[in-house]
Amino acid sequence: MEEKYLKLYKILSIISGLIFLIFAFLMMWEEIITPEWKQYQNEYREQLGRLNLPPDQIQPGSGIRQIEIKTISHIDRCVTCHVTVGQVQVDSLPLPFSAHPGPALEQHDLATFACTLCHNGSGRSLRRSETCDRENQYEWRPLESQCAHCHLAIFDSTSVNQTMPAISTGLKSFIQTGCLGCHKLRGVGGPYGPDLTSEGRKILKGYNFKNIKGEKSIYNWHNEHFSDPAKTSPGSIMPKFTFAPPVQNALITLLLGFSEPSLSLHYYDLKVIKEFKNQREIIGGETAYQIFCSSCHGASGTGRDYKTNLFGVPTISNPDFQAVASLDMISFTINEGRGGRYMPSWRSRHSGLRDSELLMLINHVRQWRKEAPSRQQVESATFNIVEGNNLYHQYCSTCHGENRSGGIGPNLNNSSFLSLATDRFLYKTLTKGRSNTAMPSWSRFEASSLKSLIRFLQPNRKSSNNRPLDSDYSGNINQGKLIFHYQCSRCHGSDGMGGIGPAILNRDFLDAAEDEFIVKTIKQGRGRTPMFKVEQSDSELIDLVAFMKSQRDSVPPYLNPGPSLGTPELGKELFQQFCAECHGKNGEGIKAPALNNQEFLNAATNGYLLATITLGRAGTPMPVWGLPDRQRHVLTTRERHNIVSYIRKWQTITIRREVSDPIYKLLE
Amino acid sequence: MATDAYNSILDINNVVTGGRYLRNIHRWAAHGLVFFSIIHMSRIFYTASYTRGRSMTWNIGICLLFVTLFSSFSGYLLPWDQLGFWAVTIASNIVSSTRELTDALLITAYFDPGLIIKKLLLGGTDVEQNALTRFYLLHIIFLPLIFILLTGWHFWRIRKSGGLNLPDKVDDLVMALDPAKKEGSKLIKNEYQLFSWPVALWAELSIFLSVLAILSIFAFMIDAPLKEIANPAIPENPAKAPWYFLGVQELVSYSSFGGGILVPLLITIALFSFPYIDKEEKNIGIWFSGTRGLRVTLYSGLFASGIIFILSSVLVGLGWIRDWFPSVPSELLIILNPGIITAIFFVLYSLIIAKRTNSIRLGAIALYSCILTGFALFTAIGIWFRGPDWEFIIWPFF
Repeated sequence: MEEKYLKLYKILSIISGLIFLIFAFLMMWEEIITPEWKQYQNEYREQLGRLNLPPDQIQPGSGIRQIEIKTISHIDRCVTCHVTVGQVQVDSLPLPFSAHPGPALEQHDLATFACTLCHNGSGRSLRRSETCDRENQYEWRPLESQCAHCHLAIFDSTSVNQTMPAISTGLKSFIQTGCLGCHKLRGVGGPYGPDLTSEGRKILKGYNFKNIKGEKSIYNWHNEHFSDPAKTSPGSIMPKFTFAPPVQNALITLLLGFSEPSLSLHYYDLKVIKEFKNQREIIGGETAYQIFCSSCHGASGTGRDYKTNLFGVPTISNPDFQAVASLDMISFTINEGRGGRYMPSWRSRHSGLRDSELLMLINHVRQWRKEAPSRQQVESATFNIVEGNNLYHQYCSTCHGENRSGGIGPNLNNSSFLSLATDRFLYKTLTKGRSNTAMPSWSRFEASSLKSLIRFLQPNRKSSNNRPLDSDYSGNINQGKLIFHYQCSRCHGSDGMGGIGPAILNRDFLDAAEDEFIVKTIKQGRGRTPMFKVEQSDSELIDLVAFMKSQRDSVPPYLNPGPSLGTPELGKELFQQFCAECHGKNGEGIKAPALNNQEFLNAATNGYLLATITLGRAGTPMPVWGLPDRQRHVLTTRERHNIVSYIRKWQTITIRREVSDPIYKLLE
Repeated sequence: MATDAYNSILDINNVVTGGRYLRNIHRWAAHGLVFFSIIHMSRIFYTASYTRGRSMTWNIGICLLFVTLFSSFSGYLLPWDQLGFWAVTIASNIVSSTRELTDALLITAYFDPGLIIKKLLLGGTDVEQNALTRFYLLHIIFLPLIFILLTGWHFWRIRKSGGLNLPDKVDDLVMALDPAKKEGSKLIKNEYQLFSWPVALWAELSIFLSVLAILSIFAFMIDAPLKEIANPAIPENPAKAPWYFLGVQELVSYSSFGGGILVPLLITIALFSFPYIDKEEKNIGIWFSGTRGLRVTLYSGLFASGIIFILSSVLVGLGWIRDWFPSVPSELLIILNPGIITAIFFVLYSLIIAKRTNSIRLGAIALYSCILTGFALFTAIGIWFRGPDWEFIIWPFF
């Protein structure tokens, strides 16, 4: 009994012991005699032997070699197989013994940079399958992306030079395409896409390859994603891009080069660190428009068609838009965005843009308004009353009346008015318009047309008395405010934004009107209009004018929509009849911008709406509704007022402007 | 430093002489220990060896099983790679799944045992440097110490009880296997007992050597896995716990409290209480307590497989209560989920068996078999049938 068991156990022990010894020997053999790196080193010796080099040039390299960067406890053992790197370099040897190409090693000292800081991969490993990034086609990223990790300052155009051609091409395209309209990068950009700051650090596992048809590699993921983002990442609103293949490759190289500093900072260019420490270079208006706006509004501000695109984008370079949109409206829109639309708030705390940059951006948008001829040009231009007459009847009469007797705009045929309106006043009024009222800017007219129009309105040249604008009028502003409230606000609106009377606390009016104009109008009234003589003592008058002038630079906490003079109920029918087809029955916007958007209603004054309806938008499906035209139905002044009042009824909230934002203070 | 942990593994794998193989042996031995602990426990259970003064030995054994699991689990994190990091993250979330209950009772803000346990385990709310330090110390000092103490106690108890728990008489053994045969009533002690020297020693030596041989084959053939360095920003998908916790993770995917706390707790209670419920003196030391027990075991296995198969099919094919009645309160799902329903079926089934056979032993066998089958099947589902986003894969092998 015992012997039987003993025999079995002994045999089992011996067999097991032998198996263990065999495998222990195999392990030792593989570990000590035939490790992979030893085979490479042997091969290298063979290659050297074949070349018959003098022995002092030969660095046979034996054993495991490594480069250690003590400061960041980084170890690379690549040189165990890539024997020649960092030693005597022998030409004409194949990989992995070939000399390190290019001048990179001269600028990147091996002892400081080792290998994998630039080349990626696991430097501690000694097996090819575990080491070399390049060998793993799925992990592979372009070498230039690695350069970008330390050298790419995105907002500093001087950081990228000819040593990084793909990054340079990619960055150019990145800016022109307007990627940061949706994506954030290093704290700057729009809120819709994923933050790209660490895109280059993402590992293979971080990507979703569910919908990738081709090779499941990082590089190919980006390739297919660019071609059809919504397919690669379901739910993505990123538009399809059709880049030329080299540009697309450059863009992917760039994307994979985005990374946050993860090594000690002396590895990075100062410019790069500055971008992460929120000290980046100032982005100019034009560049800012390209990076942030052009992806939606188009490189030249033409917007996107509402009929053919998923979401339309209004044109902002359109001359009609530029004529009627005030700087207030543009800056309000950039600051607040459009709720529910893809226009985000670009305010500093949301977008990372600085106030000064936003200001430059607004000025860039304003550049599309044609610059008016200078005053001197207008003064010296020849004029033609007939042309003035024609222009008046073509553009002005719809608001100012067939015989200049007034309508939406004031009566221009009034002797009191004509006795006070100087050429300067008319020039300024015509070229600047009246911001936020229905009076657009006519800066698009040539100098001679302007002169003709001015002469048509004011046959005799009338110069201002050249009195400095705020000479004596340093009265008591608070007193003036009271007088304004009791005497003026009943007709001119509590904010002076107009009512029965015109908007007289309007910045553009106060710019254009001389003291004499204001004072005499108040003192004498305006004949045959409701503007009566204001009976006040001279000191009170000074207070009033002082108050009015003080309002020039004031920024009220919200954009006053101005008077709403129509009947909304009547406007509703007209809206359904004429506007609903494109703007939607409730103004939700079908083939045209949404009008019942609270941000829009807060940005757009009644004057803006009225002027837009009247003038239309040339080059867009928005027709002209107010200018005389035999071909089509033209809405009367009353009807347009009614529609504006109807649209205004949709406004349910008043969005306060953050008047502490320097952006409003800095405006012009 | 956490990155140094990962780098040190790379160094072990690449420059330390024999390091890679030692690591492989350590890895496979650890998995083997968990596996064979369960096998060993089953052997003890099915031969009813926990009876006759061995209840303490059994309970120490159960404790050793948990120490084994915890040791393996704590070692899992130490390479600080994606595999270990996310496995431990998942497992520590399982631990804190009492929160589902406390949430339902609206007392989480005042009393959150899950968070307490998690913080105790990880030294914080996330797997970070603290967790690594704690797991390292647990793995190399505290758990081995407990291991040594418990193992010593375990062996001492076994020697005190006189080795294997064998039937008293040859008769019992033979009768149980083949009632027709009858050899007499000799004492088994005199008939079958062998001496420690040289038989037991040779036996143990041969087992030791064969384990070593198998481990060396494994170590030479299959490298222990090492993934990318742990990155808290990029979760593994699917993030899976170590295989021995995958059954629990599968249950947790139904309900975190039910699967993560309730069912494991019930199983633990059942395991600890077997020696105290089953006081029968018959058929000790006989596999499955005879042919009836073998039948019960097989039927229980079939029953458990059937229940799990049906519930899984329903779950995969038709969805669960939440899909049918979207408005049911989530408290209901803590109770009504496949894991708990399976457990209820198992308990009812073993009660019926105990009642019908009039034997608590057979009821216990039924329950244990159900638990074992459930563990195996849920673990298998967790390992092979769950893909990215924990979606069910119907044909994982094709």
